[in-house]
Amino acid sequence: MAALATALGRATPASRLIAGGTDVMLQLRASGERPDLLIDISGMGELVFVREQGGRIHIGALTSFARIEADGLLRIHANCLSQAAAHVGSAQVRNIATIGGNVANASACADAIPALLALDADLGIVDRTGQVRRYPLREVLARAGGPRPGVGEAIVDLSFASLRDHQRSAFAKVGVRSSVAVARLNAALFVTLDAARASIAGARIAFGSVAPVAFLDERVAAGLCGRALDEDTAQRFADACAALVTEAIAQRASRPYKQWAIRGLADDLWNAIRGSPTH
Amino acid sequence: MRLNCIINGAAVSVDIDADARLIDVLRDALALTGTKEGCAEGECGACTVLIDGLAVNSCLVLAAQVEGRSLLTIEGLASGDGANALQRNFIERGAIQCGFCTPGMLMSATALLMRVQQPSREEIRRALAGNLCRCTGYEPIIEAVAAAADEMAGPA
Repeated sequence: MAALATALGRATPASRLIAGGTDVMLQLRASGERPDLLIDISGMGELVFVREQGGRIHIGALTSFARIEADGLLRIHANCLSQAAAHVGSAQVRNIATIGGNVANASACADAIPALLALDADLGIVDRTGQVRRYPLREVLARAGGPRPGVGEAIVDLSFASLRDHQRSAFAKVGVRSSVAVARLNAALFVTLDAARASIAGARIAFGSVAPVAFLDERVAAGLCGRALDEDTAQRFADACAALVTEAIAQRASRPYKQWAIRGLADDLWNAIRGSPTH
Repeated sequence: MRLNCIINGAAVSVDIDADARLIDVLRDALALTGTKEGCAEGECGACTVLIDGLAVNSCLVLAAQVEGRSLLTIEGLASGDGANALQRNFIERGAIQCGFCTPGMLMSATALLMRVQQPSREEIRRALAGNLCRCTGYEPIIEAVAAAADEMAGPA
């Protein structure tokens, strides 16, 4: 970590960090950019971990999607993230692509970001002094215009609350293929059920591929609160998702497709939530 | 900069540019041209090699990132007496037509069989989902991997 801080201290706006490299390598090749400093953090084994500590799940920034997909702790506490990881690229990409890199690159269709938003994750970001500060992911994503993280910063870990009783999460994705597809739409849903597990006491839902970066939507989430886990709620949920997509991409050519595709995605989320066991 | 790693069981030391891709070092600096470049963006899998037993797209890896690591390329698959069981089954079952995707297919299948001795058809499909073939229709490839797994497992 000391070496990383030293390297970050030399970073300029023309410098790049590289972790798994699955985004950076493509971007450098496409742009012809030659960074003045390429900081390779891929060998930092201390940033590869998944552990539960203090009522929270912590994931090292360099943990690969293959490892996240296979991790038993995450299957229990973050089903939406396990599912998102399983949908990232191919086996080859999942073996090297990292969760920190996915968040830092923050593409519109990044699969991990809706899941992490639904889990209300925060990020540990180290700066050039070596100090690690924590920021809610939703705030980092809202940083206007600039790269995430900023110059001289690097994501070192992510964390979110351990799953409590009556909570469930799910992820769904629509792409042109069933695997190795860039998401045309992706979304993650996190719900807290009431004590009888019959209705929804609280919800968070995040959507990807309908805006420059994934976002939490409080209106759709609020529409689920207090509702029973029944077909009427499922229909209202699909309608709300469709309305959101229609509004979000009103001018885009993909709107006619996505306003219907989102209904299928909403069904997948709903069925996963209804069918999954609570913790 | 100097890169030191193990490739196909042999220690290799080679001068590279700091921003060189692994596929370029393999093909141009080391003449290991069995690894093919198709899409150059991690979609087709033709450039698949194994790093410490994991399949990766060598077009997406910085050569400097394999310092001290162990690589397996298509040139390292055949044993001294010829094609291994996986390669032989690809040949015998029509899993090769134009052959351009074949090195990547074989490397992804090798990574799978190192991890799972008797994979299901679904596991084979998923392991090969990042390798595109425009000739075979995939079924002969999946059959070849399954047959090789059976052969390597020996009699039940």
